[in-house]
Amino acid sequence: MRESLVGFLEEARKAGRISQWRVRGERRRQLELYYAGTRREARRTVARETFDVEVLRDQDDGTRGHAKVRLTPGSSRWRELLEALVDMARSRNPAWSFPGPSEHAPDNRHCFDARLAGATHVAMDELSGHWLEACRSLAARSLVPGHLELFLGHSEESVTTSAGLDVRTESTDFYLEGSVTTAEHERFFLRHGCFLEDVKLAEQVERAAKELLELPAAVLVPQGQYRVLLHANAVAQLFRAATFDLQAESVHHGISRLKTGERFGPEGVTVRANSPIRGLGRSALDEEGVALRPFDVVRDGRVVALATTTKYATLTGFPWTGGMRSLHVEGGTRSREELLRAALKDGPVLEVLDFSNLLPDNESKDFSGELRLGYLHRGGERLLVRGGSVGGNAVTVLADAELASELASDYGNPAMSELPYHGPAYALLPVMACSGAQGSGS
Amino acid sequence: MGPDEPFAPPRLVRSSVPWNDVDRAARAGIRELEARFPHLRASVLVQECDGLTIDKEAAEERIVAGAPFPAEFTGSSFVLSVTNGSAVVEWASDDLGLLERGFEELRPELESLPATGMALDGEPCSADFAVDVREPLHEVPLQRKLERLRADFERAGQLAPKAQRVVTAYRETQVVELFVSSNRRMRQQLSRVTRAVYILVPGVGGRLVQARAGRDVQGGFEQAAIHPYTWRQLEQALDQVPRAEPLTPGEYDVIVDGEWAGLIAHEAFGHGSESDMLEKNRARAVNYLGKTLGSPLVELRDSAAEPGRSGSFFFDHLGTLATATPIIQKGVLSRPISARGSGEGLGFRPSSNGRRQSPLHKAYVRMTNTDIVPGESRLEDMVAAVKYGFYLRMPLGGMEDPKGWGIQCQGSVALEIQDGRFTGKCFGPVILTGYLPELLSSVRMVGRDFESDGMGYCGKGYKEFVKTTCGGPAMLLRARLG
Repeated sequence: MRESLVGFLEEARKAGRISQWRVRGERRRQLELYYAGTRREARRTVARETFDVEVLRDQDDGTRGHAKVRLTPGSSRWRELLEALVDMARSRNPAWSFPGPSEHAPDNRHCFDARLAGATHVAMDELSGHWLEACRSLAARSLVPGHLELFLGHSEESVTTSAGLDVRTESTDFYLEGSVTTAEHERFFLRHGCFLEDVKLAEQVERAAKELLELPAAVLVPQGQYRVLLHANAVAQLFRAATFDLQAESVHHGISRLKTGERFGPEGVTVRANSPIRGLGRSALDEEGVALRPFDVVRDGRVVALATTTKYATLTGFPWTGGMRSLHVEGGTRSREELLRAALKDGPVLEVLDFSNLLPDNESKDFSGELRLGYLHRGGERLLVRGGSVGGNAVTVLADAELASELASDYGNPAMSELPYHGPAYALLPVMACSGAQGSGS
Repeated sequence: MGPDEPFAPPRLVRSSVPWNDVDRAARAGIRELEARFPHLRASVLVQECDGLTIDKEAAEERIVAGAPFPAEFTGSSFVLSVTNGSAVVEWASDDLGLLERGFEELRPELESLPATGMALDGEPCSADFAVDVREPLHEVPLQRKLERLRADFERAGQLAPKAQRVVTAYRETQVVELFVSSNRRMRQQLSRVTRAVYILVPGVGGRLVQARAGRDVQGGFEQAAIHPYTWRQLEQALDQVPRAEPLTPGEYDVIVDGEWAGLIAHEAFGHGSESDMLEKNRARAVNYLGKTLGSPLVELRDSAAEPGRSGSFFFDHLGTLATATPIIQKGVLSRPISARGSGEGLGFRPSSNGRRQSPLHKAYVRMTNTDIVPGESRLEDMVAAVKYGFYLRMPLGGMEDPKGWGIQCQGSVALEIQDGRFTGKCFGPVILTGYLPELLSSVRMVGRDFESDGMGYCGKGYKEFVKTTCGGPAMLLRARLG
């Protein structure tokens, strides 16, 4: 179908009906396994193929129109849809172009695992065995397996433009979520990745079980003012929101006012886009189809570049860097233990293991989250807490944060377009107000 | 319609699917499969999506042809589903040409599904449904849509001369779905329109904050004008959000507006009563059916049978006709929402809550339109009853905790109330947390005016997005704010 689409578009271009086109194809196969407790609830095979077709058209007034559609191979209406697309490209936009040939070939070694690409239901059966074995271990401790969802995926991606770009690449991924329960409580685990050996199912179940056994002792967090120690997932979320401003696209839309040379984040921090770290990323291509390359956006706490695709390089005048598809944040100099020990000299510290949900607003950078589980460290004791909430502004708190030397990865939620993160496993934030049980805080 | 009567061409979608051919192929495949495996029941769901997204802002006009989020593409997809009543095996693709191959590929896997002795057949049904539409969306020229959007952009810009960014958004979604099993053959045409305005303005402390308002309803282009209610909401947001200051955390008397009440309904015992969560020991409510969990003023329901609301449909993705479910009645948890194959073990007939993001996704028990039912109180009387507290407006989102019975709901604005009057001060952003039975038991007054803008989605945690709505009246309660 790709050839048919390209043929139609090239014909339209030659006839002067459009000025440029781009076709991005993705073929994906995904195996899915679902357990309700120890009962195999469902097994699914999903085969899909989609084509994102975009066209540009020069308007009489000097502006350029743009329109896009996502098609499936089963669409017998594709010719009619493309005709409509050509007609739709009558929006009025400043002129920009699709990228031409890449300087270098895409390198997918960080996001492709041949074992996952070739995975079948036999591999699933092996992982089923791990789950059932973990369930037996839970039963021995009077814990109840809640659920398991495991997806193994393999994607083949291709991008072709009228300007001569023609690339293909592959990537693999897995999605694992599950829960361990008692009558009153649950611990949930969630893990994404690109390599089969990173599934580590038994490890996830064991950690959840350990936390679940502690959970009945948790009390509502006392209301007060605390320094806050965040774990990797929350640290990643704050960096995702803050670095949203480090994209030329955000400047173009009026969301970001950052310029190179300005201070960004914790003192001395370095943030790198697209580091080729194993497991950090979902594709070897940026959003325009250009092969990813690593570059610094922040060095020693100062902005050195804004991530700029071909489109936004044209629209904003910032130098082209290619898109930013993952974040690599360098660690600090002190370990979690050292950070905690030093902070406790000044007062209590609230360590958040996880929030119910932490989704900072990309525009205001404001965030707030309910504590699903945490520790309040004070006066030499460690109190297990939950409930209540902390909130603030990602840019403000990161500016005064200290990053730990330990590193961790957080793949992010692809459904929410969250960038994969590799960086400090902990961050110590300044004093923040915490809502909770009244009358017992600091 | 009769069991063999052909389907007429869809009116609400410019369709490319040969529905009668697909219907015949699906029925033949099911018949053959059930003859070979008499203890199993098969079904086929076919979905075709189309639509349009246009965003207009000063820097750019974006036009995307095709169904907007949470749909994943323009075109058709299908899922073949086979069950023994306990386990399900499925094969899904976005290439309708692979329907027959799907039956072949499934066959070897079915050997592993033993007979369970469970009842698998429902009542027969053959029907062709469609949402009531005056102007089908695909019949309206693009130019007319663009002109309307550009005019709305001008009007929105005049409301906020200092805006950093103004976006006016137009979304249309058209869906045709066919469900076929050995005794059911149903098709539905759904059509809805979303209009919204987002304005980015400087807020307290120099950060940028967003004032927004929108509406999402079923229908055709006759629903495409931005509603006067939406413009009023936007003007209020532009007045309140930029001057909102940080709130001192604490427990307060709180009046939530109708949209907030809906969000609480959704996160509280919407998610907390999903039968698949109950069956997996993931929701505490399983031990509280028939027990009091809130004030007798609290009535909570979920209903897919609400004509015009964008979470409505005629049948769910497992072939159950649209139902209304009273979840909490007079403060008592009465029954879960459920789906075919989930909930029967708890002794409940399936409700129409078996939904998929698309045929490429698994079906789960999902909400539709989830509301707090209006009561008798007037908003003025609620405000007068508050010594010191806040009126929460403009909710943003939340997260469920069906096992721990915690709740997290966030919003943009809390208006201060002192001695029964608004002081004029605004606070925000605001997060509401609490322990659900305490929160619902603290409800002292329930308003009489229902609000629901129809915006929003549900992700069932993190990854499965379906269109839902929620709403309700204002409620006076006690809550922890941060």
